Amino acid sequence: MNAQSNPAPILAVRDVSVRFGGVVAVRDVSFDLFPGEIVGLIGPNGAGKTTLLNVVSGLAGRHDGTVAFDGETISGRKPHVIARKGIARTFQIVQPFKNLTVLQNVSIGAMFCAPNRLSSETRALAREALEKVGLGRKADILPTQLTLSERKRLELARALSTCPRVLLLDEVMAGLNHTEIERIVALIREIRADGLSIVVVEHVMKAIMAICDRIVVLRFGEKIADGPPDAVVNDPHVVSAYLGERFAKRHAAQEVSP
Amino acid sequence: MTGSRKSLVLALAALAVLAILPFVIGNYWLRVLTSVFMVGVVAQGLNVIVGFAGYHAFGNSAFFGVGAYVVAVTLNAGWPLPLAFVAAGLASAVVAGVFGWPLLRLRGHYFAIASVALNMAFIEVILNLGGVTGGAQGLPLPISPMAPDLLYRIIYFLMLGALVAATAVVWVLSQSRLGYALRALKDSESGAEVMGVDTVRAKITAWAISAAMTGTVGGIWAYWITFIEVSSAFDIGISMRAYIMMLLGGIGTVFGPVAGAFLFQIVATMIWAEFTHIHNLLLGVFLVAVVMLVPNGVLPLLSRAGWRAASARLGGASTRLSHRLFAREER
Repeated sequence: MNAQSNPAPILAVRDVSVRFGGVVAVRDVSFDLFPGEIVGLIGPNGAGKTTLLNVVSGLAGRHDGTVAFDGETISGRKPHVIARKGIARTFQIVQPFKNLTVLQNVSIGAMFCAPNRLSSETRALAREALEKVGLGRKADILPTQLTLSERKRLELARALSTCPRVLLLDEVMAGLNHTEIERIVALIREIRADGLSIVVVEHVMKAIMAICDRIVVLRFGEKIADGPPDAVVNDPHVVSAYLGERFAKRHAAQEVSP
Repeated sequence: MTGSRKSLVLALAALAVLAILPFVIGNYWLRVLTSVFMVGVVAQGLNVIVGFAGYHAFGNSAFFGVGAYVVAVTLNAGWPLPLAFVAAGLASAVVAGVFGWPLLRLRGHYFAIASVALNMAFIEVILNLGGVTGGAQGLPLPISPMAPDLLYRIIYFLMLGALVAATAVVWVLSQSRLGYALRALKDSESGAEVMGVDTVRAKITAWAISAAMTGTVGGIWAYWITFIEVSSAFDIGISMRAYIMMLLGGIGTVFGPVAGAFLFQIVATMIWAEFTHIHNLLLGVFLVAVVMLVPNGVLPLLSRAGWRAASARLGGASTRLSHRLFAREER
């Protein structure tokens, strides 16, 4: 794994806690993302996965703990500053700019983040991102005319257009059918091959198991497991978090008996 | 693009006609056209913050008043006219910047209400300031030594120039990074932020541009009518009329607010002249019809797709109506 060959994490989350009034959404969570790695962030609904992504991308507001990107502390910076540094994200609920064409939607990222902001350069970058996600032929229509699957890929292209080094994907597969999921999985692998490091928040376990080098499990805002996919899914804490303690005990017994 | 070239040619032709008109028309029509230009600029100012950024600045009339008072005070202090106009635009932009810094963090309706409150606050400030602003008594401006016919024609061209300049600024904006940033944040602020857009700065800049346009024509207006008081300078009716023009012409388009200004004035004048008893009623019906049938304004209608969308909407409305009628008959 890449983690061994390059010990300096590109993204280091340390003791992050987020409170909404009296509710603790995330409690003392730490995890690393190493260059070229894909880390899955899973957990039951309300576990704090999206909140954690919001902390990294600067949208969460006040929080405790620190986030470091490539050795530099970024917690407390504004979202646009973090985006320009090289951390891009998608949203679970797609947020296309409805009055801009698909190509213009993607151009925004290039316009404000690319090192070279000439209009010809940003157009080329946006085109490239669109081609990558397979929306090249839909460049000049409005995003309202796209299917859900296409909108999810538009979300991905918009993130890619900011020339990121770290990509945070928030449920890009939710609501998609089997074929569409396979397509996104292939796309995520391709993006990693281009040199990006990726955090994937997802409920589709099959996809998570297939693409992640490592999985971090959250439950009620706390990290309960962190390790390779196979080890994590058989971890009794994780099984009980998802399926209840009784099942976890039975599951553990089955694992031992045969 | 042929579409934009066509509209440019059209605009230049219209401009040529408008440049000749003041030498052939009487003072009544001169006054009507001058106020069309004036409110047209206010509409373009609204277009920047409402049409592009989606922030409903109902209280933009505050800048009209600020511009008017700045010109009145500076002219009374002996400043040269061009400098007074520049000061009006700049002061309005500064006011928008200072108040936008906290207010533009409010989203949606809250900002709309806060902008109206700003307008009301200015009224109170000017009333209580007294002294240089004249307080409740109003403020006379130095009377120009020029002959009225010449002066009114100069003001006509000042207002026309302001409208051309404002439209040019909106055109540049529509092509610029700021314009894209505003159109992006209109639909999703978080979405724009994570793509690198400094949304707070973009919104403040947009409101400052909007305020500068509005404040400059407020200043020209003060010079035109030579006596200002708070109720006429901070009249929220000015932003309301400008709002209607912007909606009528096409929100977020370059020429929409200009077309809307002329169209509104033509319709209003027709209604005023023919049906003096019920003009407000007819104007109201007209506005409801505009919002229901052409919510994107008349300008997009010039394209074929726009026609189709509008006729589909009209068809839908009539189908719904007939359903309702038939349902009643069955009963």
